[in-house]
Amino acid sequence: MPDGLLNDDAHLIQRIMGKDQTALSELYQRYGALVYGLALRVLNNPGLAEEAAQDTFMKVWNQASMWDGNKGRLSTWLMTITRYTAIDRLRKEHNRTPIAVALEDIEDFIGKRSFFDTPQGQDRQLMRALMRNLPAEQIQVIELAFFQGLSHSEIAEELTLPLGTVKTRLRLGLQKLKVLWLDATLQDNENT
Amino acid sequence: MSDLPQQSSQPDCETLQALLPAYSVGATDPAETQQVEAWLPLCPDVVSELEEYIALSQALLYTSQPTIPPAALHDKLMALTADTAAPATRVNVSVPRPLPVPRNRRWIAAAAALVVLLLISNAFWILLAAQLRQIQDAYSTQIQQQEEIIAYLTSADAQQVVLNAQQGSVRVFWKPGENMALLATEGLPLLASDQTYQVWLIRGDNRISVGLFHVDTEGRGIMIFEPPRALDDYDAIGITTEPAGGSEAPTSEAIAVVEL
Repeated sequence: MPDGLLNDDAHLIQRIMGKDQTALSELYQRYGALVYGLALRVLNNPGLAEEAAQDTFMKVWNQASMWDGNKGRLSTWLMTITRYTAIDRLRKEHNRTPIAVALEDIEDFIGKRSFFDTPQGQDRQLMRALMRNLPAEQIQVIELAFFQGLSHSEIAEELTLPLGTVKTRLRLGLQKLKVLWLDATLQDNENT
Repeated sequence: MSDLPQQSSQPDCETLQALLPAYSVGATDPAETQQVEAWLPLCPDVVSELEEYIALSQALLYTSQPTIPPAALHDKLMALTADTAAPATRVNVSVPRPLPVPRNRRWIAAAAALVVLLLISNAFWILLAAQLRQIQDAYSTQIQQQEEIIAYLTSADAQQVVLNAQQGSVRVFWKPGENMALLATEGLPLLASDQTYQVWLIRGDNRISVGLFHVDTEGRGIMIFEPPRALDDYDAIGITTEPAGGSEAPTSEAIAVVEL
């Protein structure tokens, strides 16, 4: 990630911490499409996605100090908040127990900054291409887990499959995807 | 090894390792989550593997198609945060957002004339109202899109290129250092329903598809895309017409292209 953008993001967050509304507007212009796109992917409903995107930006407005630039890109932090916010909303819509992850926990989840946290490491086209190498049934459980926020047992219930089958599909799918993604990302980083 | 680990003070690092993929995407059931978190400090060898899975899950976040949010969302956010914002930084917004005056006047005049003529029939009046709503919705959508472009352009560090198009105009805007760009067209031919426009980044002999888009009756279209590398790393960007759903590689001559 270019230092310029990181510094720019850090400056933007500093301004938001100072309740600079123009900074929030800039954040929205910069990342609104990413946030709304992810919320729409999870919720598949423009109205609900708009509410989830709004909640995400409000969380940032109220708790901007929770972002730690040493742990990852601002966009990754924003997208992680969006994912949990949208999944919570989806679970409420389906009368499931919300996950209710606090922003402090999101920082823990992101963990430490790695060299994978780069534009190359977050290449949408690359990841989509890699996923095409997985069997359809593995992609299905990954999608249900990651974008619908379902647990092992909830996926088994949703697909009327044995719990063991779901666990195996998810484990094998993510294991294979990780190997493919690490190989591709490391190779790309070496080339650049 | 059982599918669901039993609570135990002795760590089973092999079972823990098998649960890492699901744990990293939040798919472990509560008992499994508790077990993973209890065993992790006792199995240091698997921590680096967990970090790789977490990095993978972060990459999965970016697989969603960026989508321009409804224009009203920006104004709602500004309205919600106005009370807590530092006064000198408040953003002026207009809620509700009016249509441009000249267009409004034209439509109001047209609507008034038509309503007078059609009032004799309630059925015609209802039909007209529905048509006017459709027209207004169409204009609102166009205005929203234009506002997004303008917002993008007003950013101080935005760059742009103009593609050499056979017909109409095509521009690409991007911010240096960010892997996101915006393509905006005007005057491109409206395609048949079984065709689509497809955008390609060209590097040597490689043609990398970055997305599909359609245009309205005025040839206007907008697409946000994420180039795998910085745009400057590519030789050119081009647009072809392809069968609906897109193609793996270009199947027709470019209708617009520019060297980067």
